[in-house]
Amino acid sequence: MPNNPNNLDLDQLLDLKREEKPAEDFWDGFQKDFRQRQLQALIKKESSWNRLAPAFFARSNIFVPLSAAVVVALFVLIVNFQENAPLQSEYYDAVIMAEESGAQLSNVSESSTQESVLPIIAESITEEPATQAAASFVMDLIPNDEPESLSYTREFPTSTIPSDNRFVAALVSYTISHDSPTFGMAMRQQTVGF
Amino acid sequence: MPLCFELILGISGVTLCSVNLVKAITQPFVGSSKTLSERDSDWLLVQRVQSGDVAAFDELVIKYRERIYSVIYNLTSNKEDSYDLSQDSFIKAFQSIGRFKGKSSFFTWLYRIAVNTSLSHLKKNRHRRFLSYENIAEETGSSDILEVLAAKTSTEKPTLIKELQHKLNEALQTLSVKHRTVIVLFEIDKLSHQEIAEIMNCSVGTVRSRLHYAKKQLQSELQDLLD
Repeated sequence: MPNNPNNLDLDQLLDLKREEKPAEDFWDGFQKDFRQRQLQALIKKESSWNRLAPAFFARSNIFVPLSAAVVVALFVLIVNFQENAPLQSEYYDAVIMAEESGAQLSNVSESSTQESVLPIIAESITEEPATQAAASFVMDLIPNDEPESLSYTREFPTSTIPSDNRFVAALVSYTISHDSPTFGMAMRQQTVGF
Repeated sequence: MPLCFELILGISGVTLCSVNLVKAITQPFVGSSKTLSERDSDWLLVQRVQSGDVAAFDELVIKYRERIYSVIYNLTSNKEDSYDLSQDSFIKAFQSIGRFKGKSSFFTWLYRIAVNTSLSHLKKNRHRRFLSYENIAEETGSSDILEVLAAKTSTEKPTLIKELQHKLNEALQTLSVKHRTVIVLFEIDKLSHQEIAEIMNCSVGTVRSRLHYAKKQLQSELQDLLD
């Protein structure tokens, strides 16, 4: 049995939805609220611009020399970086130089080595005869991303260490004898970090 | 010499003609505001807003606030949410009106903002379902159903209207958001299939099929009230 005493259909029912309207005075409040929110949106938009703009434009008397100083600093940094960056050929040069200096140092007399403050590492002597006689400490300059074959070492004769500076001499001597990480650099075989 | 004079006159005539032509192309609405279509008059208002006339946006709000509120209310069936979401929609439209290029009508664009705002709100609050209804204007209303109900006695009519309203809103809320949107835009807001397709960013065929399914489902939900 149909429960529809009013003979309604779906379209008529949906028409009823169209009659669900707020009262006229509702729109006054709506418009007022909208204007307030619109104003807030405008202020927010302007304030974010106002915060940024003076930093760049309003204080031009500070901005211009500051930016100039930044540019100069960047230029100096870039130039220095390029000068200090080793070229590929420098690795090979360094290897050749190290070999040559090793050969020269092997001819150094026993007396000259005795003058040195530093002792010679026993391990390194046994593994690399070319540098056995060389009383030197070697700084590891192998970059992390370089393959082992491209590594090179730079050698400093012990004579470069001032003999009167006993503290440095003792420290270097200790480092060599213990073969342990020193000054934040890892020690390798035949290599002394400094 | 006369030839030169005629030539100059000819060139200036062509120039004047082309200037007029450019004016006619760039300002097609000037001097004919009475014959402007709704889309064109909206576009003029939008251009005023884009050039910095904030007050022009008020005219657009006044023009569309009832329709926007209505579509949001019919989607959410909650008058408090509808108020906030309508405000949000107009603010969103105001903030992004600089990017409106006039490819579609302002009305379609605004509707799309309102529908998307409502859908994201419904998605966010799908577990919180709370309905609150607007009053039905019994005296000023002009729909058939009110005439049918007018035959009822004064004590019975408001109760019946409340009951119908409640059942109808409940039934609408059982539809999926997409089906509800289609039925609200087509049956209540009386938009065309093409307009709905533009607003919902789908094909006209999809609109038709969704509409068919939604009506079928509504009918089964409201079976007790219908024939």
